Amino acid sequence: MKKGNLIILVFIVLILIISLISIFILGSDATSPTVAKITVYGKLEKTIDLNDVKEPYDFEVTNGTGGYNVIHVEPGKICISDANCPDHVCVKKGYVTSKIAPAVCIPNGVMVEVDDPNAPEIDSLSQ
Amino acid sequence: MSRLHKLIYLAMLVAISLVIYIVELQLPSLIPVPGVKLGLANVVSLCALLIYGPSEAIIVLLLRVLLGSMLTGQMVSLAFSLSGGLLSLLCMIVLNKYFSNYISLWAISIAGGVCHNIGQLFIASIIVDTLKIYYYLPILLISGVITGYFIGLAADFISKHLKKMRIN
Repeated sequence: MKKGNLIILVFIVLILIISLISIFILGSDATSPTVAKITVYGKLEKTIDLNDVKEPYDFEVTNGTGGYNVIHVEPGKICISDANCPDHVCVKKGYVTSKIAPAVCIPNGVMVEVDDPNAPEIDSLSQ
Repeated sequence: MSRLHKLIYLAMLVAISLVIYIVELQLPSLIPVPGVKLGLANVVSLCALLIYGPSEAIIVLLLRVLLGSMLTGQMVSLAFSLSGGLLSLLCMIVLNKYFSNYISLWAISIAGGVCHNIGQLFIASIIVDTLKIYYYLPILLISGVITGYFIGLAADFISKHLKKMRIN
């Protein structure tokens, strides 16, 4: 194998391993997150304490440019149940259960994440 | 070959990559991950790079990205295709120009595929304003490697045959 090929492959494997390790470390604490945040293009739309939810309900989030997402909330769980984006990746994600794996609708700029109560927000880019 | 000939051939390449792009958009996303586009239209940009050179390849890419988002009607997809495609093409241009003695084409294309997906994740993290989206990096790396490999193979075959047809 040519030298350059090997370097590229090793580099990619390294990035892969580093990202897998970071995910494992960041996601490995046992507390189960219960506070859901819904943001549109980074701006906080709604915060929901999933433990306070008594009955399942749905609500719609619009992003100001014609996009909408329907968020489904039940006791302890939240997911995106419908959207008008072309690929519906956000809907297929299912319930958001881990604080490192949010449900994201990129065409509409909508993100549904869950976090521990009182946890400081460490994962935003500053404007 | 006259400038007109070259213009016509480049226009045909743009048209071909547009068709590939639009058809690929209709395919349902197999993985529930935002931004996993196979990026098959990059075969054409890579062919343009191999047959003509960096400037022509960039022009073909920019035209495809621009026309592609106009035809499929989403501003968001313009940012995605642009960042993914441009980063990937620039990476492949640099690798091809300076290291082609040390690297095979499939490895260049794999590097391009990985850059494509990293570029898309980068734009996604800016649009939705979060770093959490990098959670999807591992699976995007793997898909970038696989599609990059096949795109490299395809571009290799195609460009060799196109060169024989003397379109440059």
